[in-house]
Amino acid sequence: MAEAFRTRGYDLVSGGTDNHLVLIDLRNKGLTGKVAEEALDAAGITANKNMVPFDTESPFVTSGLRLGTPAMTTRGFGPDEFEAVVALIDRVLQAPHDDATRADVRADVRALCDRFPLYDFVVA
Amino acid sequence: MTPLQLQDPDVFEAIQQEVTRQNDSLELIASENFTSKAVLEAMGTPLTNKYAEGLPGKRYYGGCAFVDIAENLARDRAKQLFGADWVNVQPHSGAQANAALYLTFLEPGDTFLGLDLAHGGHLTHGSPVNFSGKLYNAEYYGVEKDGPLAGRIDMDKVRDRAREVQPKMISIGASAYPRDFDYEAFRAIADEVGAYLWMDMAHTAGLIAAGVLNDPLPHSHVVSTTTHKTLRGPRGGMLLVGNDYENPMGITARKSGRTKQISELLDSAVFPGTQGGPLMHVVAAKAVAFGECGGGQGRRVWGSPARRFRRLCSPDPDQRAGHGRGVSHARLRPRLGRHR
Repeated sequence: MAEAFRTRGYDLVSGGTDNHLVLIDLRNKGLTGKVAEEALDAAGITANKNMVPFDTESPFVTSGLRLGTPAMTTRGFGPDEFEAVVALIDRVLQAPHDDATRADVRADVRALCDRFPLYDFVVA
Repeated sequence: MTPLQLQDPDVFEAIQQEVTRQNDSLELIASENFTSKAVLEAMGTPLTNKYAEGLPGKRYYGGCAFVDIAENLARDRAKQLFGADWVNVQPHSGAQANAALYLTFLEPGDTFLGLDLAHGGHLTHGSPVNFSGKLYNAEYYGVEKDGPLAGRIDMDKVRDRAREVQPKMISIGASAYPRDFDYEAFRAIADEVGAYLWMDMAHTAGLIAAGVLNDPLPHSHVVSTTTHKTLRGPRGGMLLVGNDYENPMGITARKSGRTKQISELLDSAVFPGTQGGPLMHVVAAKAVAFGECGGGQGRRVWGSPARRFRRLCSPDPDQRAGHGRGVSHARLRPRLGRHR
């Protein structure tokens, strides 16, 4: 996932990762964490804005986006699926305010989720 | 129709919508995970009705024989999973676990040194809006801005900060730090300045159990964690000690005069120090989750998450190939959606 982001020109804090998360510094993409979080949420991708070290934005805006693999790994995602996730995120972040892009990605997110069923119940 | 659906359709509907949201979206919040149906089932049981202040075999209430079984399973499995001498599985959350260890190791006003919140640290490691920053004198170390260690912790700088502020405790652990920690170097610094070393492994506990990341237990005076992130259990907390030891504060047992073990002080700091009755339905669910991770009878289902984390998260080809520490990776766990 880290490598897929790097090849698409994203700036990763510390240059990569040893663990389950990446922290993207969005400043070279001209985006804030707040804009990215809201755009991704509208496309069905849940992540959180996050301060990057020496951030120039406030904690309510931030320059970073934190992304982690544990939940979707549990759901059965492997490297191929996370490559696809990076592509979906990149599509949204290239046009963060475009409703058509959000709707297209939202549909692709649903299709991807449907291949990895999670819960089929509400309460026991 | 379920009892909830019949009795309270408003709450039922809110829950249903949240489950649908989880099913239909990509969850990439690094601190979240999906528990198994077995974990959910253990949480939704009448164990929530039971008061069980104290520890198994030493409760303040009667009728605890069966919740004792559940808590002992949780404790034994967690000890096995992390190679720990002692654990306490009662903290309601990671923040509660941390409150208990502050109470054990520090007096109000004492100085401690933690990772700056703005550099990936956590609220309970000294943020001015949190009790840890209000009751104690919090000092910070950070990551490098430029150079070969940009975005990473420079241990020489940590040593300089520790010499400068002379903390009584040094904390490690983060909520947004993508790199591993050098626990041996942290311990050497702590020993040099006479500080306790605390690792909060909330984010990475599952990766540590799987042997993907360095093990903090041999080097830390105390380790805290949540149980619902990479451990994939119910929402809750836990405290651990790798090798139990006599408390350095010199606190003795009232009758015998024996110096207490640090584990005894930490148990007391959880209850009655910072909590009342533990959440026994959650404790039972912790036992189930630790079983899924490889502690106790559940060892057979451990393989898959560790293998996947290795493949996905580790930059080291040897790690990716699957050289972990001594947990069994014999069989793949069936995907969650298939055995619901």
